[in-house]
Amino acid sequence: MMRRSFALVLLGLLAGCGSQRDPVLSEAMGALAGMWRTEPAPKPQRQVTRSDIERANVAAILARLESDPRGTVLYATADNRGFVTYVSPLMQQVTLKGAEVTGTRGLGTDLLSSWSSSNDPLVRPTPPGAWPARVDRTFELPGAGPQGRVERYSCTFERGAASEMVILQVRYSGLEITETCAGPDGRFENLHFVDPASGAVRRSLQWIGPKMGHIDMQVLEPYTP
Amino acid sequence: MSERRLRAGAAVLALAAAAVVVPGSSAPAQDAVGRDADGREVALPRPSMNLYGSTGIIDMPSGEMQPDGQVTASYSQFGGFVRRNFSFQALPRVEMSLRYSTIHNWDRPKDPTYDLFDRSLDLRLQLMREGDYLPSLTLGFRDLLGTGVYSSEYLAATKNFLDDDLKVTAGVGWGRLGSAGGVENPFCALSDSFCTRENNYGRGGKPTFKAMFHGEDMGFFGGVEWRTPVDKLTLKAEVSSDAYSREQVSPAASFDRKTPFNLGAEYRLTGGITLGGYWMYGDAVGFNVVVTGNPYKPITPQDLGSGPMPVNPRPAGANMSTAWVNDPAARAKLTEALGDALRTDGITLDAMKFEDDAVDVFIINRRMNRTPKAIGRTARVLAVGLPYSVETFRITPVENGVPTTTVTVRRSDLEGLAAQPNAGALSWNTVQMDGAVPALTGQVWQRDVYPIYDWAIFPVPTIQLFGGNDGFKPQLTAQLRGSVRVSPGLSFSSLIRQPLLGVFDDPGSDSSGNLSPVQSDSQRYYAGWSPKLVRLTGDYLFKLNPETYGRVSAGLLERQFGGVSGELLWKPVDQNWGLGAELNWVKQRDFDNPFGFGHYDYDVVTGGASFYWNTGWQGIETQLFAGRYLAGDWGATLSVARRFANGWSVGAFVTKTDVTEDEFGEGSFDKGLTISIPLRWSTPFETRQTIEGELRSLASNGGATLDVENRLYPIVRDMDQDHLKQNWGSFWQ
Repeated sequence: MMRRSFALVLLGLLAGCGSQRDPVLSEAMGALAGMWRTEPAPKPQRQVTRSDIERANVAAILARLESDPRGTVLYATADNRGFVTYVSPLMQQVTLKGAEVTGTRGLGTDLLSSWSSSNDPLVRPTPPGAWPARVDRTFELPGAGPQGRVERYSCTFERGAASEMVILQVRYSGLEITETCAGPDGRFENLHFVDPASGAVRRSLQWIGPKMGHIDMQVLEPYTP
Repeated sequence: MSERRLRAGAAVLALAAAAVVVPGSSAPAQDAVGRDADGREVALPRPSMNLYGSTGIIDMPSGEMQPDGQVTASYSQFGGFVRRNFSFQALPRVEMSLRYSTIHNWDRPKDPTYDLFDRSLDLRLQLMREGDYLPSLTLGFRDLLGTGVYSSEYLAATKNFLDDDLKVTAGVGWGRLGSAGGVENPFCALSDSFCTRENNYGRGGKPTFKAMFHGEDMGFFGGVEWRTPVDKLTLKAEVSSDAYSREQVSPAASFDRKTPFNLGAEYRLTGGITLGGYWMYGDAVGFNVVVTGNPYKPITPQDLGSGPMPVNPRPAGANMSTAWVNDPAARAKLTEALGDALRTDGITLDAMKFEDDAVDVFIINRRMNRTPKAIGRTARVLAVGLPYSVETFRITPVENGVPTTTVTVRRSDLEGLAAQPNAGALSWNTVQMDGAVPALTGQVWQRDVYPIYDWAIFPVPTIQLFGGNDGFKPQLTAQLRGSVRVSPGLSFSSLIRQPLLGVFDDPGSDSSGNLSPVQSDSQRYYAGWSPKLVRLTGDYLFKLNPETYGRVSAGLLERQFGGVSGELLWKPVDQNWGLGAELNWVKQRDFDNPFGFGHYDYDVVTGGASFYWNTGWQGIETQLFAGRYLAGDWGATLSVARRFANGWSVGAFVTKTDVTEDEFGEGSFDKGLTISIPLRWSTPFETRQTIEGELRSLASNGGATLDVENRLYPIVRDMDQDHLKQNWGSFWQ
């Protein structure tokens, strides 16, 4: 099944602000207005439900930063040779290669790009018993020059206990796998919840840079090219 | 009394404001790097600043350096001594500090209440970084260019212990730092001349090589700093080798140096602000307020907001028809939609030319601090919105009405590289950069919005040094800027200044001297509470060819001069150097009549040639100007600045003309500092606004230059290949 929503973003932009106001001034005034606002905050939007996702017929993920208690639903919007970019209504973006987070935009400090060695089970679903002993990961972060700042890590996996998890009203059984990465710039841990048979990653806590820390990514509706 | 205006007031205040909003959890810019339990780099405490505004303990220096690029402003006071300091870590091992001091009751027995206002410059060179066993070692020169009041040289070594909680410093000093508790200067063994230290520095402003490491004695100093278990609190103790002799000569002097010991406590209020309290020399209470920031450490997230438009490859077998090119209605609809889409990113579509398989777009980037980001976002909008037949995007940022650099992006490259690993470096290898043509010709859509009116009102803080009773006079003015642009290159603009605080009421009398008062009367132009018409000009900016820019300005060019100004700049985009020429005829304005020119009856032809060179090393950029200055003197100015990729810039300039040192007065020749801070560094949203500051002497007339707006090189500087490459990582952001 192919689930995509390519047109939404452009339409949304074309309907955007058309005034000639100074964008800097507008943004500053907006920020100031936010600081001084005395009226009640707008009501929180209705939580997305499983039926919303089914009805939209679009591949979707729920992404949550460590500082964000709720998370945001992002929808698949572009596929660039297997790198699928998911976009939120506020145009924040997460790009995945399989289940590997390979880029973020607009979340605070961008992960410009990321890639891994060819045996990465996050990229190609692999039964847990066949996960490799070691995977290399490279991260490009904002910095001077076309490539920015590059950090490289070597990662190992450790299988944990079987468990169950509810992702947007659907209960899944799976395995928890801890990934430990170390490199010249430091070390971090990722955590993956994977299907015990196929190895498909249903939820993943992945490191996206020293400033942003981890992103919690849940697959609400998988992308199928 | 001489006058100096510290135009860096705005920059200092911005730094202070920025430092205040640094969240408590935000790690300050760091020098030494340690590892946490996970092995990740963590910031060790930034070395503290002493009361002289350079890295040190309390009154003594240390062997450490600040983090590269660190900019610090501080204010300290004790025992009738006030120091206002500005410090810049110019290179990883080079630290510079500029200081404006007030010393009450200075060294004049016959004039006991004489207050000395003094400026001084320090230079510190780190000879060795701290290792596992060896300390960091720094060679320092205090008051290198001044009048010798603080003149001293030293070697200081610092070593950290106990997981960097304890810092120990020891050093030897000459000059003032060899004036107490020392031994015979060992260099006296080399030559007797080393035993005598020259104290006559003339008018100052020149390096004091002859006095270095001279004097009868060499002193020892040292101290400890302890980072206590109380978060952010550091305790300090030191032994000083400064006798403060001349400060105690006057019968009115209240300072009495009883001991060589100083004690203190410092509290790091936020990542950018430190407060210190001290007990100095057994006699006086002192304090120090330090505000600091680092170009490499923005204090807000730099990528918060909306991401770029996702790009999908064109489908196989896509309709490649070019019929739309000849359909005016389709073109109009397309430009309208593209313009709307770009506007959400603060990008204005200024002009567009259509071909079957290519488009040229002129854009005005009103928001993005990094130009490649604006180019990248434009390319994405074009990829999403243009018919499939278009393969080539030629995108040209327009600055101040002038097309600068054309970046050619192949659509298939964009589609192929979007979201791919290492896309930044790969895309840099696929794009092409050329000087933009002066104007698009042929089937061109041009934004029809002229005239464009624009205005802004904003506060401008400045600091007048040595011009008030206490030698330090903060000032605040409101500035109203208005302009009307009648075509892409032609505009008329005005600037009006309304004094609000700290104004000199009395314009004073004409200054004396052999040179025309082209600068020394500047205080008169800003005296009084009436609004001041600073500028009223017409400006035309244009291109002669893809590599040559031009400007003509006429009117009231600056507060003190009106006339005509012309400039040419040759700066190919793929070249790290350029040439410029400027010619002005100006007449001195009246200080009390916005449109009058009769009081001084002085006009001059001024101008010259400039050589611009981006060295490509550590962001160091230079300009060498040679020509005729406002007072009719001939000479040259060398400007050196360190520019960071995000737009931060800290620089210095020196001017030497045929004006003699006696004619010039204190300082011997003209010199000064400049600083530019992008507002983006301290705001969570995109903006291209910058805060500019300049520190220069307004007391002398030699080496004075015209302060005309829209000089060409600063407008096009960031658009060449080297500068775009610095920020090219943002192309995909």
